[in-house]
Amino acid sequence: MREVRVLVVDDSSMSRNTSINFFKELSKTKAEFLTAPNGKEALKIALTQGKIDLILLDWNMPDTNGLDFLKTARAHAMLKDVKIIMVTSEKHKDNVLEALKSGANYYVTKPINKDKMKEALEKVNMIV
Amino acid sequence: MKSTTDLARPFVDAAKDVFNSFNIETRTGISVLIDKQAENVCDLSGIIGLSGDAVGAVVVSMEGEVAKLITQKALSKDDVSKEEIDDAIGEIVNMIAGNAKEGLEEYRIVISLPTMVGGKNHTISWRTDGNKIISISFRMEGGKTFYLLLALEASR
Repeated sequence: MREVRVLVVDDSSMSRNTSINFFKELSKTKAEFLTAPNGKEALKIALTQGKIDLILLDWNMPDTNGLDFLKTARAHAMLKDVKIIMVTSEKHKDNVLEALKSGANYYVTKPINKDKMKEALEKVNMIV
Repeated sequence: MKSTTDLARPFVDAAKDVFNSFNIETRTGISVLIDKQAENVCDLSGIIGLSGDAVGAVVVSMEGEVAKLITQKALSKDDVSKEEIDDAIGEIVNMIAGNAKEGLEEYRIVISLPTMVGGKNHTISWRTDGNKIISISFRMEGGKTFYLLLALEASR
């Protein structure tokens, strides 16, 4: 089974590490993790560092926020099909709907826990 | 239009839930109104601004040792750096503000990125009227206390 590549985009190192640790615990697939502290850096990585299988994406970040990154990614031929899970503290139903409408495959709210991450990874078929 | 107290409730509930998720049990104390120039007795404050249908700020203030304790719990390790403390407390305030929006569904509120302010007895100059700033104490297991400060005003 090939190694999956996961891009974790969050301006908080605590939240980046939390997502990575839960993924490692839950996924049986070996993974390589790339990280970015904002959408601008994430876009650079996603377009230049080879195929990405999954993006775990925060919303509130400096430079380019998660929603803007999401819209840009979905309009780009290289990223339009990559699986994207929003991992954000934004819990208002309008935020959830806006992200899903803009192309997010799933939406989980922080603080995340193992159950929330498991559900999200199952929804995008990343637990095999 | 919701009162300041009604606006505050979702933030208090969100704070309890967020700290609980890091295995930090808290008990809320009394809520008091504070003066807009009140001196902050804490070492560290995480601040998030609110704009949109409700404007103001959400602040979590605490002593340095409490911030360290919370970060140790959140990261599940004893050795934590100043950068990790700032990151963790900033992210916790972000989670409180973002989660509280669920309880204010009739409002469209935009939250800012967190700003960390440090220094003994630093002062927060609130832009909101003095009678709309609430301080709620949260008591942790072992007696350590931190504060949730809320300046909230609905624009409709």
